Amino acid sequence: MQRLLLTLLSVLFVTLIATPTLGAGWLWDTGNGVGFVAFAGLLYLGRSEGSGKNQQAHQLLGFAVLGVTTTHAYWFLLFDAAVIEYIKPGAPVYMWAGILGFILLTVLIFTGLPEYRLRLHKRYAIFKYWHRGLAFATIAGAGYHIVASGFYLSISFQVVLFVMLIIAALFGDQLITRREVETRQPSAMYLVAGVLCVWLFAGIRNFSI
Amino acid sequence: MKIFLCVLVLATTVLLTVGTPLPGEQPVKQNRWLSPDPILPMTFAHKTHKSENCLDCHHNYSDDTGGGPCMNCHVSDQEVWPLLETQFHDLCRGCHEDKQLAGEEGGPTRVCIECHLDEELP
Repeated sequence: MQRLLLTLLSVLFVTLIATPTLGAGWLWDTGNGVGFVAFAGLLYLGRSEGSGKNQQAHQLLGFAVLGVTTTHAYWFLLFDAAVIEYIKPGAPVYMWAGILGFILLTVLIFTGLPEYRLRLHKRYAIFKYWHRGLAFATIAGAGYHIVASGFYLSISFQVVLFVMLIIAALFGDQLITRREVETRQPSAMYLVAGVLCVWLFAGIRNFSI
Repeated sequence: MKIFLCVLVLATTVLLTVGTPLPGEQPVKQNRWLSPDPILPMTFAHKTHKSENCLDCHHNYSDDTGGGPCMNCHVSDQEVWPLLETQFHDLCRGCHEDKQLAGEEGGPTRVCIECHLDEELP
């Protein structure tokens, strides 16, 4: 749980380090705060154990992250009628990267469910290889979507910190302690902490104006 | 899980075809100001920008690059047209962001629907 909170707060910190008072209004900042919480969840999932006794918790957290990501995507489509044009042909590459990340996340979660996994991969090692590859591709797509949209991470050193954060979240403990994975994956705690992070993310930008 | 996917596909299809179900204006992309391709409507309220230097936007007043409404050149000039979105986003949002960072009240920095409305011609 400490790692989950650390991941959430680190992502929040990177977004606030340069221009904390720059906002886009409650509606947009809330929607984007939800997006950052989804990304933090994705990073956390990338380094948490999903086999054995942790399988169910890992799946549940996966669904929680998918739910948060879905909320992020549909939030804008519902509340800003012009955004729909940004997911049609001619949309910027970073929007396609976001859509790709969303699709990959959905595929990642569904192909990880035992009923589909056993149909797709006979050997667990092969499944794990593909699952990890898909996870990295999802993080890459979502990361590019965040960086290239260039509002909350508008300064170059923020981008550097953001990339370092991704590397640290995915490989940091492996480099330092060789192997140590999170066993508890509290999806309820993720959602509660996520709501607080969204409130902080949007609140700091909008109360300070 | 299948239900989730079905709801997702259905919701996306509905949103893409009829737009948001929430009340409010829904901008439509179409050929405007003789643009070669469909574009979203744009609004600009001069009355809320009276304190700004006209030359900040109307560069043609000083560099003699054309006359009339902005869209005369920005959609009809072959060289300038591809930059329409970037130039106007940078100009409008950039100024609004600068004001907000300076602690002043600026206009919209991201909310698309606040500018892409059929109200006043730019």
